[in-house]
Amino acid sequence: MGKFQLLIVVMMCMVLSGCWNQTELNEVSITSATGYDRANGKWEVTLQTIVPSAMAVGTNGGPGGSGSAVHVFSTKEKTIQQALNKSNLENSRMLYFAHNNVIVIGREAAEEGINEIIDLYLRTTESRESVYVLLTSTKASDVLKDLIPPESLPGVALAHILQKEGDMSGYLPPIKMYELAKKITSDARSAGIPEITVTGDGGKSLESLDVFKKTSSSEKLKLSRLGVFHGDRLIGWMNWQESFGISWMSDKIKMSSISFSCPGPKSNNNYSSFKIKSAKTKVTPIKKGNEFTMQLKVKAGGILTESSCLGDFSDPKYTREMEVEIEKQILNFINIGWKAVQRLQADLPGFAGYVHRKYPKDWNEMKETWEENELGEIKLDVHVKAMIQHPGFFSKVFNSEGK
Amino acid sequence: MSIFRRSKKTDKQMKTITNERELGPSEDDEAALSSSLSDTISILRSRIGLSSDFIIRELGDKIAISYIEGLVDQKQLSELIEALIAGHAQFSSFTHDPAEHLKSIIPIGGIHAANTVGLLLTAILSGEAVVVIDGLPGAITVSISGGIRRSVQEPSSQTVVRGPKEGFTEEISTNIALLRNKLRTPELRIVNRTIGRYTQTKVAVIYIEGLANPEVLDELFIRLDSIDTDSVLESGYIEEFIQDKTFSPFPTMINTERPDAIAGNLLEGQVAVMVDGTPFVLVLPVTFFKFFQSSEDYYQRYDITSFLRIIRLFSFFIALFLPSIYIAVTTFQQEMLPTTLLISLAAQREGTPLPALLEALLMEITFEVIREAGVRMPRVIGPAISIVGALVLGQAAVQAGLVSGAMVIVVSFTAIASFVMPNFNMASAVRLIRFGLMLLAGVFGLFGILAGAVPILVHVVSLSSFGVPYFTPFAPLRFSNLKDTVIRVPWRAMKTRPSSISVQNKVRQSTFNKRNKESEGE
Repeated sequence: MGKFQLLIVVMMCMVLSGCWNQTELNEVSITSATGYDRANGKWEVTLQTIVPSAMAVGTNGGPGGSGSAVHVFSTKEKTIQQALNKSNLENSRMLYFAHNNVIVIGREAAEEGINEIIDLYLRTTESRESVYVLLTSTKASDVLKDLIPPESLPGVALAHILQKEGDMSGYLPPIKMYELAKKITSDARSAGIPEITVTGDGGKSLESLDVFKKTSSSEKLKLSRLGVFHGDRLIGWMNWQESFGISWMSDKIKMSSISFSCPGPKSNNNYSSFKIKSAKTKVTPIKKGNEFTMQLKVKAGGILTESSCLGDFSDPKYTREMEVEIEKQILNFINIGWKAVQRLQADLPGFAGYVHRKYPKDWNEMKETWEENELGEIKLDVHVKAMIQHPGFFSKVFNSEGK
Repeated sequence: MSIFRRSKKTDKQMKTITNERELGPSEDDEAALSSSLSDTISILRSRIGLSSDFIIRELGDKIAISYIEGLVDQKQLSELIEALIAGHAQFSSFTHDPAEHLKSIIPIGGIHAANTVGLLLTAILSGEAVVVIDGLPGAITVSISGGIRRSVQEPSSQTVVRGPKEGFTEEISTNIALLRNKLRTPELRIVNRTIGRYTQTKVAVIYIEGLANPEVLDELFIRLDSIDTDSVLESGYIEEFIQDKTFSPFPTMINTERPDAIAGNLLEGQVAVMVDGTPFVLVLPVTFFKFFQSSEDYYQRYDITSFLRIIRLFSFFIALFLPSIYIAVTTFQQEMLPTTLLISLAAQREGTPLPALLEALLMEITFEVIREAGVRMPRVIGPAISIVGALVLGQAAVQAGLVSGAMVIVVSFTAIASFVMPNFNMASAVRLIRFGLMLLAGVFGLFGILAGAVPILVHVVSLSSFGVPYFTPFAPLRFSNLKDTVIRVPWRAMKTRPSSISVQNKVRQSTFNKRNKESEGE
């Protein structure tokens, strides 16, 4: 067969078989967030889909559409996939999950177990396991209906809130689907998922575009607590201080801020704040007899951003005293976190992994009873080293003579 | 052993061509001229016919002068006639070489004797005057060619900001002079061939002895001598005859109308083929990366040049792939886009009636039509097309909801990127391949683009230009040649010529030292 004939055959193959999985952009319904609720033994899947025409930029500049940028609807069925499939009854477009930013799990679903959700995300190709996971103490469908001013896409906004919060504060560290799957199947079997709540008087003001016309809304979507999972089930909650302590223990802090009282007598309410630029935690399990001690070496470096202390910051002795105060604060958070760990019997810092790696034989004996017995008996040996790298532009408190 | 492969097929083709030789216009060109004036005149009359510009002027009954009006210089012609009339008496008396005698009495160079009808005709048709003397065998040709020709102007197709502003003209002797002015070396060789049975076009092969690869030269002469065609009106004819591979969109020869570019190329050991009647001179052998080099690259600072070359390569990829990547990503691999970009693209595609592939094809074809119209139409109507083009391609199409705004951006950026390449040949190749890639992308997505790009790469790597692999110095990799490809190193570091092209005399300059002169003096 000549080259020319071969070319024709190839061209014919192209024409005959081509375009089989082609989807034009105006035929897909891009989901920005998905919610999973459980009711009466059925999955209720809520989809927050983007309405592109509302996002179109008009010729005069600025958002052109007047309608809402997202459309939310829910479907109910025995399995998640079937529920999604049932959405074809009401949705004109093909669901498209690659740009799903965040999934929200309702409380009932979380208490019954989330293995099915994780299975779905890991099994199929179109849904990404790098999606952020959120928990809500109410129904996920309620959260997804709410807008987050000034963002037009709440799903994207939620992902941004999580990402920024994790990078800048570390109070409630965000978790992605694959991290969640890894954590609940690890030795520690525990994971923490940030909770999103609607604060306020329980009205529905966030569900309307009118919220963009106001300067302040009585309701707000907000990260509030950390939901603690053991296995695939929700077992309890932690407040942000406890969660922050866990973040210190598990080396999750990237940047954060800590306020501390001034060295010396504690009578006055003089506080300063320390902006952490770098933090590192090193965990070493040490076995003494039958007891385990976790040695935590925490290092934090940063700058002084605010102060009302009367000392001289150019004096190394004084800054050292301030550093000690910072160290106390960090230690305090760690202790609060550790108490929460013991209260919930959930190994959020992942100490089980360290023990397993260093003492594999001992681990084999106690892995069944780790949370109930051994975890509670572990002693913490925390060494915090904080360092003020520079005190800012001046070395004394502003207007120190005037005080 | 030759580095060139020639298939049996081409040998066969050449044989058929030789068999067709009889079909040409020449009949008895080899016939010798008689010594009779009237015989010679009647032969000329019968061969050239009753063309009104063909003039035979008899000076008395012994001497005739014949020329074509318009091809000869009037001033020199009158000088010649004056000299002939004054020396009339002597002509009848002498018997030895009349050409030598004529040389001594007229102040014009280029006087030769012609013995056959063929030589005589060629001389007349290329603007020489022919002097026929009764009683002497043969005739004398006097080169007084002149007439209207274009002066040396700035090249219109390859402009530079910095660099010489002169360009080649249609006159081959002027062009060679321009080149001689730049290369004042006795090693500059100019070998002439005449190709084209009807056009009798002068083709000059120009190279520098000792730099050009003799194997390339031999092969070039073999290929040039194999050409037997009726006409050569432009160097494009020659290019298509002598190129290594016919079925390839990629050019294996560069054409330029800049003498400085040719001079630079000759100094790298390349060979130039100049064709009379066109300002475009061919350069061979070339590599792929030569098409991204402008002569200005060597006049500007090396860092700026390197940056510009990277920009050109980038534009090459943009011009080749951008529309197809846009099609693939928006119809198959949407997950590759950032969310916000995807949403803004989706918003623009709301309500557009055509699928992305058709939309892209429509816009690309519209652009090609407008571009072609811009080249072909009379200059006076120029502004009209740009207005219509801008309106049709841009605003109106988007406002009417026929195409999305992003597609207009993609198509216009592609169009502009394809004009960045200094050599128009390569830009045309890219345009052609782009459509194929767009179809593949519309059918198979990114996989289709890859399925198109890999064979293209294979093809490019397999090409060769007169024995030099097309993709050198990258495939085969030659480190020393990389200094003048994607980047250009400073002149002081360009110590050797590209080894893929120049096989002898590789050293270009000695190690540069600011105190070279002083140390010599010590």
